[in-house]
Amino acid sequence: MHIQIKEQDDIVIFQIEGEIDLYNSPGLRQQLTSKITKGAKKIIVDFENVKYIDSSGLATLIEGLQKMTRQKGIMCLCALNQSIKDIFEVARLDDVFKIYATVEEAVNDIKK
Amino acid sequence: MERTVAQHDENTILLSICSHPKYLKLVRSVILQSAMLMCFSEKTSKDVTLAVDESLTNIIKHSYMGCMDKKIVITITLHDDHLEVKIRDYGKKVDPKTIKPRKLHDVKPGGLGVFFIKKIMDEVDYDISRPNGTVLTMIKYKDKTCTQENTP
Repeated sequence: MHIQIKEQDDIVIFQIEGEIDLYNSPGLRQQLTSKITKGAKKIIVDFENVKYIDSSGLATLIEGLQKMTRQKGIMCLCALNQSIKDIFEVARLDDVFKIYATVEEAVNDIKK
Repeated sequence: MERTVAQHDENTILLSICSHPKYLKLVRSVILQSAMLMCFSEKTSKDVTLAVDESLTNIIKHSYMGCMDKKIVITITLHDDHLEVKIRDYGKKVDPKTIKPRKLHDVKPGGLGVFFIKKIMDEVDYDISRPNGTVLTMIKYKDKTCTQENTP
């Protein structure tokens, strides 16, 4: 898994490439926590190049969302492929996370 | 007739790995290809892969408590009407009665692995009768979505 972090005004975009599992999720957790601790108010996690996620990855995202909510920030996801969308739907996390079709759509909506 | 050591069931795949999470990707690849070989649909094959991945994750986290040098043996058997995955670990036994998925409305990190395993697989059995460790057996039956067209 490779993570590239881009900042666009006050929005932090996590571009993840690869698979998020027990092996990789600690790295994602560390980078998410670092940005949240530094006071990020708006985070987008871009799934365009994510091929797989398991419950360790989901737990990392839930933890990030809960931290962001506590500091009155926004964390959303975008560009999930169908397999990953199915996993979110089965776990009913599609109701928990705000999910956008593209990163542009997410940026346009949360910068309002 | 008794089999010689060199003989091996043509429908069985045996993987022996250590409990390092870096091997999860490797096992996922074998499970996915095994399910596709049995003509499960791509979606079902990916689901079964997730269930096996979650089982291994639980073994690493809970049976071996994060130790990365312990033995895990995975036996995949391609039966005519079902795929069977047996996972043997030698770690801390977990009382099957205590293995429960979290309630979906109770949104919190963790607890989803067991939910996926039970949701995806048709049969799940934890055998803790051995002197040490657990044998987890998971079965997925073929259904009408299994066709030759799914063969890679």
